[in-house]
Order: sequence, then structure tokens, then C-alpha cells
Amino acid sequence: MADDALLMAGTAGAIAAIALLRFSWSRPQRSVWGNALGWFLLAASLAAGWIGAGAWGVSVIALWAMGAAFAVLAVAAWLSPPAKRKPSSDRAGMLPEAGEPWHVGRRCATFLLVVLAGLIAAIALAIATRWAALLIGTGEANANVLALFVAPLGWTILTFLILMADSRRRQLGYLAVSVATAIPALVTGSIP
Amino acid sequence: MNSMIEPGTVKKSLSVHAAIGLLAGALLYIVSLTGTVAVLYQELQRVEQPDAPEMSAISAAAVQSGVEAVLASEADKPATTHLYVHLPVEALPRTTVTTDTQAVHLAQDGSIAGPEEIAWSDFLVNLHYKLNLPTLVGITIVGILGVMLLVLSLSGVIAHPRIFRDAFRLRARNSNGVGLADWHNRLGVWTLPFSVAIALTGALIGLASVTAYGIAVEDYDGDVEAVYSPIFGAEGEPDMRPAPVPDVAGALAHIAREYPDVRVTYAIIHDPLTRGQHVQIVGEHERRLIFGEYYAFDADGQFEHLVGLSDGPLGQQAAASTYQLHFGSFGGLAVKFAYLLFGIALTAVCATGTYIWLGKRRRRGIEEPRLRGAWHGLVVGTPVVLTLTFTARLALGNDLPFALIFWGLLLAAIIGAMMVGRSRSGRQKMVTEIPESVA
Repeated sequence: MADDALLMAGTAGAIAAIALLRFSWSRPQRSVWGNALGWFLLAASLAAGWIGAGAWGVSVIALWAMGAAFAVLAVAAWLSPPAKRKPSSDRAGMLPEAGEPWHVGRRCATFLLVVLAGLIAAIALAIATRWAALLIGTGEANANVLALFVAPLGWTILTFLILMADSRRRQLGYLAVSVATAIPALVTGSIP
Repeated sequence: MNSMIEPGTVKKSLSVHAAIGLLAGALLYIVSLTGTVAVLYQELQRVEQPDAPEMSAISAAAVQSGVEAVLASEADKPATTHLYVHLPVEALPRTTVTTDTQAVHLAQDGSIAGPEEIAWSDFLVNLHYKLNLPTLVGITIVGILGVMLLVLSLSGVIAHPRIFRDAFRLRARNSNGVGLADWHNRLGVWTLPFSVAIALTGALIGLASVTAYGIAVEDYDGDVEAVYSPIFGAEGEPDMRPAPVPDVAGALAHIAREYPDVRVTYAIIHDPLTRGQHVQIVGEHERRLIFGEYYAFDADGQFEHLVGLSDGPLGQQAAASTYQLHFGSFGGLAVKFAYLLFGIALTAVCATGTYIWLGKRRRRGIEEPRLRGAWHGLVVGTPVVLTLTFTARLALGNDLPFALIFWGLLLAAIIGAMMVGRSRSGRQKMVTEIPESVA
């Protein structure tokens, strides 16, 4: 019963938080208090969901918040006047413009670094994390699941860092450090 | 928050966003669209085979007799390694027995009612899971796409300094690039929690095989199963000497008696008809993200232990929660409709990204009619071809090669749209050149 009340309060709070953020962000001047209150209400709603029904409660309340935002967006789409500004024509730098060289070799190398070397480095990070977790006494189930989560998360961060890096040396550095983290595990073995 | 990010970082992040989006955009669009439709996997099965027997519940004795009937029907085939009984649940009120070689529906009394015929629904799920490729290759590629979606989410937030400030601005009336960019950015920012959850769980599921292989080589002498054993429980010791059919009814009766709040979804027999056989019951728990708890029984229906997905270490609970969170099956039809809505939004974000990039290039005077045509072909072609294959399933039956038809027609749609784009561009060029030549 108390859990139901918490979930309902969380749901109402999440919808109110979206409405408050909508109001706050629509003002000509940034309202620090309005923003803070909106975010706080959203966080409190998710906390209510967690207390009421754990991860399930958080998921359900997050869906309500997104649904409320979609409803507000639908109103915006209906009422907004056409924009006065011109659309952007900024270069993203993905493909060369007319007459510019393609740098096919460089692009292929970057692709291989991200996909092939990135995958190896992400698995190395997963192995290293599992090794460190077991070393500090984490149970085998937790350590293995941690490793399974670290692989995609580590690869995400690595991909972003590699593509943001200014030089090939820095890209290789990120990969080398990631792979090197697995050396202790490979040398000593993980199961204590 | 984003005002702290330097302009150079913003520009570079936009390049990263564009590069990943263009490289992975087409497959991400297909995976996103098929994932959205697959949210209704259970409901689609009922549409695909409407005459299968349905029931709100089935007795333990009927399940036992169904298991015996199915195993007897396979007496002259190679022994199945597993036998799964899907038990009736609200979204799919059917009892279905699946072995290594067949799947059949049971009637209320446990007799075999006929074969399961859901080839299109299975094709759809295979397309989403592994792009109809061999399992390891396909699921790893889809896992990589999950990682790319995470990178797109991260770079998208960093590349748009006003993404939260403008979170409610949607100038839908602009038919030029402003409107398109607003749709992309607003849907992107408000589906961010959904996209990150879907991408992370999808990447985890997709990359689990290769990650587990790496861990297994490092620490379990290459035994991948040993990586999963502490999480989902271990397979029993095989003993292939013959044995009678296990007591599934006893196991089901135990659950009904001792765990009345648990909704039983599956009964699984490992190594049936051997002395090494054992029974697992999968039970859903109310208001939990976990797909269920494994209740382990011996062949005599005697309870042995819980695996711990519901109350074991946090890692077990987290791993068991990834599936329902990914597929949106944790809260009935309401959650499914929410996933449908946000899935459509995510699919639209995938589609509009490339259109925004093409629009920017067009405004700089770079026309790419073939590329634009190909993208039209993919964006329009995928849902159209999916609908065509589903219509063919309803009209022509269960045995069509749906994967072949889908990829063949989609390829034709893309090539056709490329050719139309090129010929249109040629005609426009002629129209603009004629006055000059006349002059």
C-alpha cells in the first residue's frame, strides 16, 4: 500500500518536474531556482520509485517523465511559429568536399583502431576490472557481471576519446593503456 | 552545463557524431525499427497463428502429459538436449513445448494440438538480434551497434551546447533544415534515458559472447559456460544413461504451494530422458525487472535451490534485469506502448540524422542524388518491406524464406531509389540548363 502511494507520488512528481522545467526554460532569463527545483523534483520522483519498487519503480517513473516531455513537445510542435533563422550548413568533416583528397588509408586506419583495436582494448578493460574486483574480495558473480558491463561502457568511452584525439599517437596511447591494464590479470590469473 | 565545453570540443564532437551516425546509421535504423516492432513479439505471434489453443492457465498434470507426449513423439529422433514448456501468461496465453527439433502447442488437457507456426515473428526477432546472420557474428555486430548508439548519445549531448536549454523548442512548421534538426534534437534528448538503457543493455547482450570468451580464455581454460555459471547457475553433470520422464508436475505443484505470488513462465528440462536430467522452473516476480528466478528441481520433482536472480548478489540481479529492460516486457501493455512510442522516436532520430547531414551538404552546393536516393530507399523501404513480408506470411503461409525476401526487396528498394534520385537530379539539371542554353 505504502509502495503504491510512493509510486503514485513519484509519477505525479515526475510529470510536475517536466512541467516545471518547461516553465523555467521558457523564461527569457535563466532561472537558477526554477531549474534546480525541476531537477530536484525529478530526482526525488526517481528516488520515490526506487524506494517503492526498486529498479522497476525507477524505470516506470522514467517512462512517465519521458511521456510527459513528449506531450509538452507535441504542444510545442503544434504552437511554435516558423523559425526566422536559416538552417545550419556547417561542415561535419565526415566526407571531403569537391576537390579535397579522400585520405582513404587514414580513414580505414581510424576505422580499424575504433572497431578492431577498440574491441580488444574493451575486453582487456573488462578482464582488468574483473581481476581488480576479485582482488578486493568481490564475489565471482558480481565480478563477472561487472566485466560484462565494462566491455560496452569502456568501448564507448574509448571510441569517443579516440575519435576526439588530435593525433594518431594519442589514439594509440589510449588503446595501449587500456590493453596494458589487463597485464596483471594475464600474468597472475584472476581467481584468487 | 554545456556552456563549460569549449567550442573546439563541440565542433569535434559534432564530427564524431556525424562520422558514427553515417557509418552505423543504416544498420542502426534497421535494428531500431525492428526492435520497436518486436516489442509486440507476443501479440504478433497471436496474430500470426490465431487458431492456436489459448488458456488462462493449465494444470500441472496436463503439462506433464504434454511433456510425455512430445518426448514420445521424438523417440526415433536424436535426443533433445533441452525441452522448454512456455506456460500461459497474460500477453501470450498459450502452452507451447519447444525441443531442439520442433515446437508444438498443447491443448488444455495436455494433448498435442499442432505445430507452432510463427516463422515471421521469429524472422523479425532474428533480424533485430543478429541481422539474420550466423548467431555469433550477427549478435556481435548488433552489440557493436549498441556501443555506437552510446557514442552517438554521448557525442550528441556534447555537440549541442543548448540541448537542454532548447529541450522544449520544436519548430515543426519549418520544412527546411531547422525543423528537421529540431525533430532530431528534441526527440534525441527526451529519449536519452530510453536510448541509453536500450543501447547499453543491447550492447551488453550482443557483446557478452566475445567478452565471456575473453574472460574464459584468461581464467577458465576457455570454458565460456563457466563464466555464466556463477550468474545464471550451472548445467548439471551429464549422465547419458536412459531414465524415465522427469516429474515436471511435482515441480510445478511445489512452486504453486510454496511460492503462490510467483507467475510461472517456463518449465525447462535439461538433458531429458537421461539420468543427468533436471528441471528448472522460471517464475516472474511482481514489480521486478528481472526476467524471473530459476527454481531448480531434481528429476523426481524435489526442490533443490534457487539460482539467486531475485535475491542473490547484485550482479546476478543486474544481469537478469537487462532483458526485460531492453525488450520492454516488465509492465504489461502500458509499458509496451511506451516502448513503441519511444522506439518510433529513436528510429526517427536515426533516420533524420543522415537527412540533416545531407541537407547541410546540399546547402553548401554539394548534391548527392544517389546517396539521398539510397537513404530514401532504406528509410521508406524497410517498413514497407517488413509489411510486405508480414502480408505474405498471412496470405501464403509459414514456410516462406522471409529473411531472403526481406533483404532482396530492401536491396531492390535502395537501388531503385538511387536510380530514381539520379534521374530526377538529371532532369532538374536539364531544366536549369535549358534557359541558359536558350539565352
